[in-house]
Amino acid sequence: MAPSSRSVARESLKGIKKAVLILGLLYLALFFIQRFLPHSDYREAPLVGSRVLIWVIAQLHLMLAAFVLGVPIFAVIAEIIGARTGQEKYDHLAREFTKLLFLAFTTTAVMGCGLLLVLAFHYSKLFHYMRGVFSPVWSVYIALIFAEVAFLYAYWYSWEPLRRNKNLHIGIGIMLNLCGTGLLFLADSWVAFMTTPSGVDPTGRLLSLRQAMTTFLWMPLNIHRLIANVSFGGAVVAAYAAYRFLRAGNEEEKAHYDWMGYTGNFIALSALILLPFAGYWLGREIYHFSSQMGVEMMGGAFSWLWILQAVLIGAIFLGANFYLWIGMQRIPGSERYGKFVFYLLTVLTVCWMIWATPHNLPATSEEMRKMGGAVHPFLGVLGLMSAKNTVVNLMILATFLNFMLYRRANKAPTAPWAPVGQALQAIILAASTAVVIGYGIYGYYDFFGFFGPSGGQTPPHIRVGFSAYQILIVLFTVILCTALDLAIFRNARTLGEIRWGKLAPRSQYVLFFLAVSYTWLMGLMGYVRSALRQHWHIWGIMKDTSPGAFTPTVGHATLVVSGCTVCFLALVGFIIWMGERGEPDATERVPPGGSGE
Amino acid sequence: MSKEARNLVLLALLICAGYAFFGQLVPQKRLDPPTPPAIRQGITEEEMVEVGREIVHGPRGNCMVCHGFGESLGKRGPDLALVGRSLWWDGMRPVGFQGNPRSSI
Repeated sequence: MAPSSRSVARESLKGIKKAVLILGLLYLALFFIQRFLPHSDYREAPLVGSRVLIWVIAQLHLMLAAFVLGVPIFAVIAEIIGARTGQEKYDHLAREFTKLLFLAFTTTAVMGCGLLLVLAFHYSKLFHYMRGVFSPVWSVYIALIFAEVAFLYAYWYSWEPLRRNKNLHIGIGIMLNLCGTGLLFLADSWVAFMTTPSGVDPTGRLLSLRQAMTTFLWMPLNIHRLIANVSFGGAVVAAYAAYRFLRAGNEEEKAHYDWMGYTGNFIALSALILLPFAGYWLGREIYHFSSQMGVEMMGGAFSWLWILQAVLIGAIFLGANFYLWIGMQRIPGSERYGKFVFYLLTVLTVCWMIWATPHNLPATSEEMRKMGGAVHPFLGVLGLMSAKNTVVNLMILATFLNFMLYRRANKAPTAPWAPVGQALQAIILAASTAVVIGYGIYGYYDFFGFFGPSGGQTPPHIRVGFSAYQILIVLFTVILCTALDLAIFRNARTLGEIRWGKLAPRSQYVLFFLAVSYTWLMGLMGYVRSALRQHWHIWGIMKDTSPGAFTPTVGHATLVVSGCTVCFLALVGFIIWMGERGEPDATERVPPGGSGE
Repeated sequence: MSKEARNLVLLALLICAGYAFFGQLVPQKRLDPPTPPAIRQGITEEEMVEVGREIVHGPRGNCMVCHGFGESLGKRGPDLALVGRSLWWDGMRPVGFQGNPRSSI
């Protein structure tokens, strides 16, 4: 074995030893709880209560897990791009991403162990049941943890030794991602089972482990989380880059972190645009499993949380677009597109306002009397899903258009057919906008009488299906226009190089705002998914009979989500601080990679 | 702590506080676990009607979000005033349902 291979193996072994230590301590603690403590279904935690305690720990574990699963995905993608294009900056970027993973991985593992301990101690009835149902899976899960640790260490420590054998190194990175995805899928099967149980009889006796793992919610949850993890990881990396940009000691470092922040935000936004598709599937599966649960989610106790979600995603869209507009300042030739900002901002703002409009307004009895009921005659119409789906798709289209303008800001096409191609792009965008709006309006009125009397109301079950067509037309538009854009601007004339680092500091605060909003949004939606079970640990199978079995108010939930977000950011701050220790002073640092395109 | 780090911490706290504040502005409703319906041997028809009314219109009842009763309210689900005449028990189960039968009704 060559010395470098030996050192990689030695470091991987260190990682495995650390995992053995953490899991060993967990095993001892679990053994102590079960063997020496008197049996009790529930044990109440002091001060905050066991419900809030497990909520916070589970949420923190999820956020950290999302980060350590999302970041390796685009670290490997960045490395592949670097290897294929020969641009060293991508390799440096991938390496910097991976560096962040190390401490985050340990923190995630510790938090996961904490979650299991709290579950075993405060909710022992549920813990014993879940352990019993999924007992054969635990060994696979633990094996995957060890494999992931080994691949992570090997991926990091073999970076230099395998510099001349990039394919092997990328292969290790892919294995790291496969292990992470496997862990995600297994853990998802447990939470999906709790919400949409299957494979058990009404008393909870296991009939089929395969069915218990592949429940209604499992695959949509896997896909939704996988995409969301990439988006979330991108946002957190962009925030890290923003922090480093603000503290940069020289221009080169500033340029590098500006580029890194832009790349992280681009990844976050690209994945975010895909999320509604996965979210739609997830919601549909919930309705398929239990229409009662679906109605509770969209029209019952949780309906106001969707207004909060609209406010958050609208803020994220606006922030991301604002960042692109500020970013155009560093691109020569971008002045040509400045005139579009006003119109795009108007579209985004109006759409955001419509999306955040509730169907039923909180109103006094006097106000309701004046409105003629609980629903406002005009705003009530905007509160329906037809309007909301329409504006969400318009916001995606507006953001996509903005990104296209940003991308072409310093380019002038040289292809003779470019004017035709650009006209075609405009026609496609205009047509898809018209189709999206058309479906939105047709959701209210069946003008042509396709589904009943002409001019009558479109039946609700037909109207709901329109959202799928709207999403598909937007996806089609994005793919087609991107393909055209790549062809139009092939061999384009450059109007000037992007001046990386020449950016107003407020742009970096926008990146940070986006990361905090992503984190908060993740906490909120995690709460909705979990709280759908209401007073059930496992829907329809095991009731929660603890004092915390109630579903809290929205106000209470948002306070806990804010607390989780602050704790997560503090942990990430700690991780970054640990990573920074030993680095040279800001003015002496050498930039880790280039930035110019 | 550097000035930049302090600014970012303040910004994060401000954003979280803002979102949490917004959460306090919307209607607040806490949902407690339902009390089991008081159905017993020998229950009268009037008492049964009361139990049904509590289930449909009580604090946890969302039936009317989708269903109508005669001319009133939701149009998504079948009219509950007629559903007993037109559907047998099996017809109430959604097609393709594979989950827990108790949650299908």
